[in-house]
Amino acid sequence: MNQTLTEIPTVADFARTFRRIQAEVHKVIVGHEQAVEELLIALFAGGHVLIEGVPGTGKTMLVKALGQALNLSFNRIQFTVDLMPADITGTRVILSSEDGRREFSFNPGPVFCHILLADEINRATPKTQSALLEAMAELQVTVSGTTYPLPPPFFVMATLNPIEMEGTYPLPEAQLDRFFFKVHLNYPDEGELVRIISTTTGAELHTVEPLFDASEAAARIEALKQLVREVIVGPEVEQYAARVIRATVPETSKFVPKKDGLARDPAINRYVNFGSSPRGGQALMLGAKVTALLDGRANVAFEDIERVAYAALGHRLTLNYAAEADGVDSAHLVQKVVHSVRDSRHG
Amino acid sequence: MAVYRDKARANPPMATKQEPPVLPAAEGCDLILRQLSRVGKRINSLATQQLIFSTLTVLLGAAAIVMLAAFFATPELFLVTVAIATLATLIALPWVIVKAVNRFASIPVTAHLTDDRAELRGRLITLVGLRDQANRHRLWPYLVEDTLLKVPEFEPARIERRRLSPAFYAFVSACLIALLAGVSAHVARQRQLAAQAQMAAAMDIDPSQVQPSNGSHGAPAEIVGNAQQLRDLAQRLQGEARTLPQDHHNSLVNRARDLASSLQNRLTGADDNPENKVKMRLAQTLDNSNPEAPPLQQPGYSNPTSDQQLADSNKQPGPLGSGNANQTSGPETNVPNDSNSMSGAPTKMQAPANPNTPMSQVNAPGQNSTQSGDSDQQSRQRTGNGGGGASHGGGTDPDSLMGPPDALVRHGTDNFEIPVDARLQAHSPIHDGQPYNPPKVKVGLSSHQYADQPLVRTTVPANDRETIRRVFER
Repeated sequence: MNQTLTEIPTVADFARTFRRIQAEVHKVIVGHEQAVEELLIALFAGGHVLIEGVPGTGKTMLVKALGQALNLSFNRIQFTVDLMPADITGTRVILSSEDGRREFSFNPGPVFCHILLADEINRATPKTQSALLEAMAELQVTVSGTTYPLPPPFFVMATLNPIEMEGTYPLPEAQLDRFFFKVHLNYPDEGELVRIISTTTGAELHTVEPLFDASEAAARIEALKQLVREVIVGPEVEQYAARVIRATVPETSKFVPKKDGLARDPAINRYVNFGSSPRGGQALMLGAKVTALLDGRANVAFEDIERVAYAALGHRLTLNYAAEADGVDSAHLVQKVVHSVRDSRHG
Repeated sequence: MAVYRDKARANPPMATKQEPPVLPAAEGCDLILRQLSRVGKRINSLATQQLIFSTLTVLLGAAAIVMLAAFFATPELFLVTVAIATLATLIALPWVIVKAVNRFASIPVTAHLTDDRAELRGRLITLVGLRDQANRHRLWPYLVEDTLLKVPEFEPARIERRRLSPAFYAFVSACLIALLAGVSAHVARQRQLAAQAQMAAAMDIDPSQVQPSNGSHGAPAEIVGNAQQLRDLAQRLQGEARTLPQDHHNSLVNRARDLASSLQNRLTGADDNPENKVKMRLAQTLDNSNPEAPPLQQPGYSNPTSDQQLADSNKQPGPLGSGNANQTSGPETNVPNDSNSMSGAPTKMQAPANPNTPMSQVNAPGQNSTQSGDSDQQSRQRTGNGGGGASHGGGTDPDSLMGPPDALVRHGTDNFEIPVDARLQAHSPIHDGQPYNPPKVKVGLSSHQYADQPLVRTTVPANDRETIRRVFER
């Protein structure tokens, strides 16, 4: 610790940059403040986001605006049922050199970018969907035995259409778990709708200004991501996050050898088949660190954990048919989990 | 050690208007911990106050309630009150102690409380929890400086405004209640003493109103009267006692009532000398209430004033009478069990505490009720006066007003005690609607009797009047 704080981005820098990106995105995206914030939290935490929303709510526009604001490379893949893994990762092709020799050369796919939009990811086959797994988890792609690292920052935003489920392939739990946050884009209210109509149909089109130079954008983002990991977490807050994760696991789970600290709320035991994985805990803590920096703090508070709990854990709870029959959703259950753990903390 | 350099000063990490103090992280951390320690001292001071005052409040409140019940409640209600107060104290005392002890705060707990109350968002618990690992965190100096900016927000007075625990006010309330109870008890005690001083001492009772004990184990009342009356009463009580149902439940209730009464007496000081018994004088029965009946009082002594007071006290709707065993244990009641004592003196009868005990068993050794009856029969035959034991007082033998000494010797040892369950009835069975007024009998003295040797008519001491009154109320 012989270096001064000015050698790394300061807490104030982080919050300032974050708010500026938000402002740029909202030039073209009306409403969806919470969705935009969660999107940026996941970006700076180093995760990927699954965006679920009905058609026409601005999913693609949101991702494009983010890429433009950050001035990072941006690719879009429209997932269809006949999309092949090589269409994502790239493939080796035979190219002729100047001396007439023919050799295999790797032709990178659209995954080689900083920001990737996987549009309607549930329309591709599981084989194609799984092609993204390695890229999302390990930031690398292996083609024909050769591993190609992806340029940091690598940020995948996959969209999911909750309707028109016919002919779709729902994402398996293992792939869902790899998404840091699941962001919901709902229909805009009347005021937002008026603003959307007026701004998108007028003569003056709003454009997003890039905040960084293209040459330094990736480095700046990576520095800010590194700052996130420097945020200090007290032992009690770590324990609190662990308790929250533990409380999502039902007592009836056969994969838990020690039952202590499992779900206290009866709703969890009734409606949840599988609780959150440890990866959910990582998402919870990293998201909390970003929110702490946004609040100008270098430490994580309990409130930060609770603030990102639903976005981090909602899609990691596997609900059973009883929940579906009773109309119980994961947001309700995560809220119950947080309340039960908070009560035990205060008690 | 990482500190803010000049460049850092020029570009403060916080977007705040206030310039953070320039302090090394370690020094700043110490400053924060000292402040936290002061907050902890304040919280622990309140916890100590709560522990002391809450405990005293519970004890004082329970004692005040018991004292109030001792003075103003009936024995049954007193017993229930004492039981409830004891139970509540046993429950409340550990509860308040545990609650107060839980309020004691260590440094981490203080940090937690301060974070919550000052809305510091976990800054303090992070500092306290990781102060030993400060060098591992690059943002530690920032955290310290950020927290230093918040020091004014967690001054002890802002975190815990109270210097005095709320338990103190509960303690003051309990003190006031106790004071009120003490004053009330004192006033009640003074009223008792004043009433006792004014009330007449003597009390006549109708033998037909005396009932056998129903299992009460309280102090038996002492009844004085002439031998024949006592004998008849003993036989009647013995017979009635046999017919009494052996109700175990009633016996327990009576025991509990006696216990409560005894405890009340001790608390209120009403029974200063429990050895003294209440002595009551048997009046003539209704059938023998003619003016020519044998005397009930000491021959040769008549105190109109006392008789008038006695009559007045009997007419009162309150307690039938009160007396003091100390005074009644004078020459009228504490008659020696020898032949001389039977010369016109009433015989003392003490009812047994256990109703199942035969009367003959409480007589003097070597005597039984049958023998007494025989002797009395002989006595009546010799004197030719068949008016009963009470009529012996009108005899002409100056040495034994109640008949021949040999016939009365045995009666002189007829000492037994009976518990009296008597109360004033609004509608007396004797005179319609009128309280029982014992007959007054005047008997002429024998020519051999020394008129100047009357047994002094005494009055019941003031201290025992309340006891007698409670006995009759029971």
